[in-house]
Amino acid sequence: MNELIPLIVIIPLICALLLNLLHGKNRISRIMALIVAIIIPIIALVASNGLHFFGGHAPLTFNPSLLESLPASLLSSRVILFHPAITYSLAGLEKIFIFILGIVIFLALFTYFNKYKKVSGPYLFLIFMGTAAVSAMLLSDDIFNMYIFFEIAALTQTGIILASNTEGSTETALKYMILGSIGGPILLLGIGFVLGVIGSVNITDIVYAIHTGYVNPYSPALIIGFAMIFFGWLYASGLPPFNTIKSLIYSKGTPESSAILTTFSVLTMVAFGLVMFRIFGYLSVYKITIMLFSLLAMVLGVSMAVVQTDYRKMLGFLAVGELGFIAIGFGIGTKLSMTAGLFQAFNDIVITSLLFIGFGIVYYLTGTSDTRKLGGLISLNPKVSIMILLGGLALAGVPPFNGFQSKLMLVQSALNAGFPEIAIIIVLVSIVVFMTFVKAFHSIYLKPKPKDLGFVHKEVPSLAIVSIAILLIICLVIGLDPNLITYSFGQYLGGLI
Amino acid sequence: MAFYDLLLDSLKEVKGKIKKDPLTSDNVSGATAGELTVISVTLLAALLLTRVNLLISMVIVLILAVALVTNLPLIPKVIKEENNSLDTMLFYVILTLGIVVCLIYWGVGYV
Repeated sequence: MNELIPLIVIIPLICALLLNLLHGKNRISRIMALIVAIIIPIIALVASNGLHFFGGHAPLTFNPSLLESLPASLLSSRVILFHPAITYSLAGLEKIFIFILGIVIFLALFTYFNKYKKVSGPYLFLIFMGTAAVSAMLLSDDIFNMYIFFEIAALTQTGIILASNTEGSTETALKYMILGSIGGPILLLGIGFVLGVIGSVNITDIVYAIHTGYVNPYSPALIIGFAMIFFGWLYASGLPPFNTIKSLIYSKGTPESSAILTTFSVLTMVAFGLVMFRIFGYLSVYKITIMLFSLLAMVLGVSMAVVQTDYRKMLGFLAVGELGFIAIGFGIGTKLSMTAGLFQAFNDIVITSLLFIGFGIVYYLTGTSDTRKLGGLISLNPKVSIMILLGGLALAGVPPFNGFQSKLMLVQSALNAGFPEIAIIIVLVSIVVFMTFVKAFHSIYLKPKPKDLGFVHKEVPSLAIVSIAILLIICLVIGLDPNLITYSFGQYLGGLI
Repeated sequence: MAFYDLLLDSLKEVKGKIKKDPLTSDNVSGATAGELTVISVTLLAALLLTRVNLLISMVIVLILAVALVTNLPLIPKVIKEENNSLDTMLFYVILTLGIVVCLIYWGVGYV
């Protein structure tokens, strides 16, 4: 038992409730929010790998003294293996993702506090509630428990859009909630089908029951359950047909909110993606379906991004297109491709957060996101412009940044698995991402400054520059030594494949 | 040159359908890239069907190639369908749910 594991969820939950109560008390709220944001990644790193059984209800095999007192007939049955309570599991993979979640939250709050004198308690409540929910999804080994936190995360995302208070944010939040009222219940129905067939919601138990022939792995109810969980996953991650609404919410949030929202989406995608792989990875239709939707996400994301004249919309579509790269790793389904997909997820979180915060500076200064009204901003702060350019290059997969390493790994895995077409598509889409970014960068920074371009603020927020610099350093360090991340992912997947 | 002219005409049409602003190299390059991305990725993805059946995949690739070229420009159609209307979103969500359930439920026995 590792008592630190539940604290990763409990601390942000308590912090969220307190911050809501402390609304209006700026100084205390700021200090508390920043301390908790930095505590989360520290706990994730300090906690030792292992399991936590809520209520101390471990499987019988974990209790030798109790095991000895049981009758022989029970000892030979499967009952002793089953998990009677909610189990949280912490390994290298969860540590890395919770660590980067904490870092993004910290930097986003850092930037938010620098921009606004008054902080909103309810807004901070939503951010920390979402953080707790996403961390729980990553840690939980119980699919129903994951669903509960999935719904909490979806509601907090809706709240974050509402709290962003930008033009059209209320309507977008309402649309997201309406679509969620389809995606969420379908996911729950799928879990219900799995529960009906297996009799347990513990993921390890479900996997054991399927792979040892305890239930028919091709049972129609189980297959329908997979279809519904898969549909819920599409909603959670923002793959088509939910790509439009996902890109819309990214473009309607404040830059910090968008960075947080994209992090939540990617981590929810990873958490449920891994669960689906563990439970249904044996189905050949699993790979085909994921490949189909990931290719669709890639092509729709970049083809919509490349024609945008609003850089916030462009970033929203690019962020959704990048999800396709993550999903294609899951779809190919080999150890290398899964590692590449997870690595891409990590990189996607870092790079898109960098770009949302970076382009957020442009919006903060000019009050517009229309690239046709912008230009010549490189003269305002060349260092920030260069950092944003480097972030864009990382997104497109240019060496020596992290995006290059994960995309190269994806191409290699596609070729190794005998899918040269997918390798070509990955390269092709990366080129279009590069072009999209260069086009936007040229419009905002390099083309002559329009005469009527006005400024809402004169100074670039200094802490936003610090946030961008930290994220860029992470991009560079991981790009130079990808093993820092991929080793843990490889170890985790080695136990699954 | 016929195909080139077709592509050029389609790009002018794309521009007209996207915005009423003056034509810039940014718009043209964006629309061209989007158009070519949709065509090439769709055809490459269709080639994946060779793993199921070579003949069927050849037929599908040919049909797709003809359908894509004769329906140029594609980007305005994509933009039209990828709009912010809740009705359109709900339509595609329900359609996808049906496709996913059918594909997975009946696909298990065939792949």
